[in-house]
Amino acid sequence: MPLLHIESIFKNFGGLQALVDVSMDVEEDSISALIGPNGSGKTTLFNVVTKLTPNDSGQIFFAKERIDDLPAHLIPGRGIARTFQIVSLFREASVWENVASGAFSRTKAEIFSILLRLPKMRSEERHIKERTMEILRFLDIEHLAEKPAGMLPIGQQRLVELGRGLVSEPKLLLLDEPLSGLNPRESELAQEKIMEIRDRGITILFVEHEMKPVMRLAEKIAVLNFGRKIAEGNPAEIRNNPEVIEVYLGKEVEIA
Amino acid sequence: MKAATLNRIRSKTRMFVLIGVLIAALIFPLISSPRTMNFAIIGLFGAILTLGLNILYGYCGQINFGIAGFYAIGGYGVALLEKYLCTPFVMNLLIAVIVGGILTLLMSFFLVRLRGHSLVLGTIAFHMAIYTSVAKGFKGFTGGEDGIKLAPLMLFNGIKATDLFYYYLIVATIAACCWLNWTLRNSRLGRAMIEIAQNEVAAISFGVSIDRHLRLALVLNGVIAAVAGGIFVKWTGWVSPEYFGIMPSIIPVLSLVVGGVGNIVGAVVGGIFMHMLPIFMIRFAELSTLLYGLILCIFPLFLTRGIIGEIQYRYQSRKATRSVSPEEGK
Repeated sequence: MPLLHIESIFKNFGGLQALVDVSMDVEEDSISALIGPNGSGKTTLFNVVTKLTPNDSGQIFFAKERIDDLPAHLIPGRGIARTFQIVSLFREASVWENVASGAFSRTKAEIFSILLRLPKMRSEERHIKERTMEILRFLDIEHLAEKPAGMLPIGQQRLVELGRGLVSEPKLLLLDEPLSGLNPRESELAQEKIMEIRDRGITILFVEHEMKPVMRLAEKIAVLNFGRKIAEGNPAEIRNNPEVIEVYLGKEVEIA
Repeated sequence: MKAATLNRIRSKTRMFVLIGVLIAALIFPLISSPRTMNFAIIGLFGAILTLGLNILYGYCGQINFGIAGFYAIGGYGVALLEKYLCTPFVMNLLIAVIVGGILTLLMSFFLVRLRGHSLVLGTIAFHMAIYTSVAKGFKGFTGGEDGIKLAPLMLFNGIKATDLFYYYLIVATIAACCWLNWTLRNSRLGRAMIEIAQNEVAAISFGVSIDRHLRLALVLNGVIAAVAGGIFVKWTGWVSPEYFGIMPSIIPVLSLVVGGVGNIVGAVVGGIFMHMLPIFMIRFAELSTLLYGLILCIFPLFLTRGIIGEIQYRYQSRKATRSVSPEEGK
C-alpha cells in the first residue's frame, strides 16, 4: 500500500464543486507533484489531507491507517507536515524559534513541568534546539539563527518555512508552492534542497505553477482541473497527454 | 560559535540588569516615605494584572477586557471566606485562586470560541456578570455596595502586617509572575501560543490544539488576577464593588500597549506606570481619563511595539546587523 492513499474525495463549497471524486496515491520515498490551473483544487486537496478543510465524502489513508476521521491538530503527530503558499513566519521572533515551533507535535512537556522547569522539560528543550540547529545547518542558514525572521529576504523566509516542516521529522511533507516568489538562483537552491530532503527518506508532495521544476523534480504528477483529476503519470506521460496540453499547458507554454 | 559567545554576553548583561533591578526593588522601602510606598504598592498591583494579561494578550493575541472580573473573584473569595468561615488568609487566598481558576476554565469554554471584538464583548460580559452578582444579585451574602470589612493580616509573631510586608509579598508575586511568563515563552506551549496569535491555521498544522491553549492562557490570566485581587483586598482591609469596576479591566490592556505587548519588562514597567498615573495627576482627575484615551490612540499608530518593546527592538536589530553583516558582505 502507498504511503498516502486518497480515495474518491468530494468537497463542495456551497454550489462550487472544489473536488470531485479525486483519488490519488503517493508512494513512499518519492517526489510527487500536483499541478493544475488556478482554482483547480490543489490547495483544497492539501487542506483536506491535513484536515484543515473537512471533506464531504471519501477516505484518506496514511501509512495504512485511516486519518480522515482525526481532528486537524492530531494529523502532524502521525507524520504529516506542510508548508503554506503564503509564508507565515513570526517576524519578531528569531529564525531558530520559528523553526522550533514546528516541532510542537514531537514534544510533550506540559504546563507543570514547564513552570518548574523540570529536568525532563529542559532536556527536551535542549533537544529541540539541537534538532533545529541541525535543520538550519542542512538548509545553509545556520548563521541566521538569531536573526528576527522578518528581517530576511523572501528566499530565506521560504527556507525557514521549509525548516518548520522538517523539524517535526515527518514521513510526508506537503509543500504548497515552495518556489513561488523566488528568483532563479534561489529557486535552483530550493529545488536541490527538496531532492536532498527526499534522499533523507521524507516523501514529498508539492504543488507548483512553474512547469520546469515540476518536470525536473517529480517522479509522478497528478493534474487537477475544476476539481477533477484529469491525468496522472510520470513527467513524460503528462507532457504528451493531449488533455493536459489542452486544459493546462496551452499552446504557448514551452515544456522543458 | 560566534553566535554562542554573543548569546552568552547578552545573557550576562541581562543577568546584571536583573540583579540590579532586584536590589533596587529590595532597598526601595528604605528610602521611600510611607506615602510613596502606598503609591508604589498600587502600581505593583497593576504590574501583576498586566503580567497576567500578557499571557493571553501578549502571547496568544487575544484581548481580555474582563480582568476586573477575575480580580473580583480573588478579592471577594478571600473576603467571603474570612467573613463566613474565619479561615486564615493564606488558605482563603489559595481557595479563592482555585475557585477563580475553575470559574475561568468554565467561562473559557465559551470565550475561546470568540475572537476580536466579540471576545472583548464576551469578556466584558463576564466581568459584568461577576460585578452585578456581588454588587446587587447576592447583596445579602456579599454586603452589596457596603462591602465587607476584613481583619488586618497577622504575621506569625502576632504583629500586624505593615505596608512593608505587603510590598515584599507583592514584589515576590511579581517575580513569580515574571518567571511564569518567561518560562512559558521559552517553552513549546509559549511557542504554540505565539503561533496561534500569528496564524491559527499554521498553528493547527504544527499540531497545536487552538482551544486547549487558549483555555490554558485564559486560566493562567484568571489565576494571576485572582491572586492580585486576594492580596489587594487584604491590604486595603475592605472589599467593595467599586474596586472592581471597569477601570481595572481597561488599564492593564493600556499598560501592555504602553510597555510592549508580549514583553515581560514592558508589562512590569507599563503596569506600574499606568496604574500610578492617576496618582500623579490627582489634581486633574478628569485629565487622566483623557490621557488614557490619548495613549490608546497614539501607541497603536506610532509605537506598536510599546516603549520597552521599541527600545529592545532597536537595540537588538542594531546588534544583529552589526554581527551578521560582515558574513553577508561576501
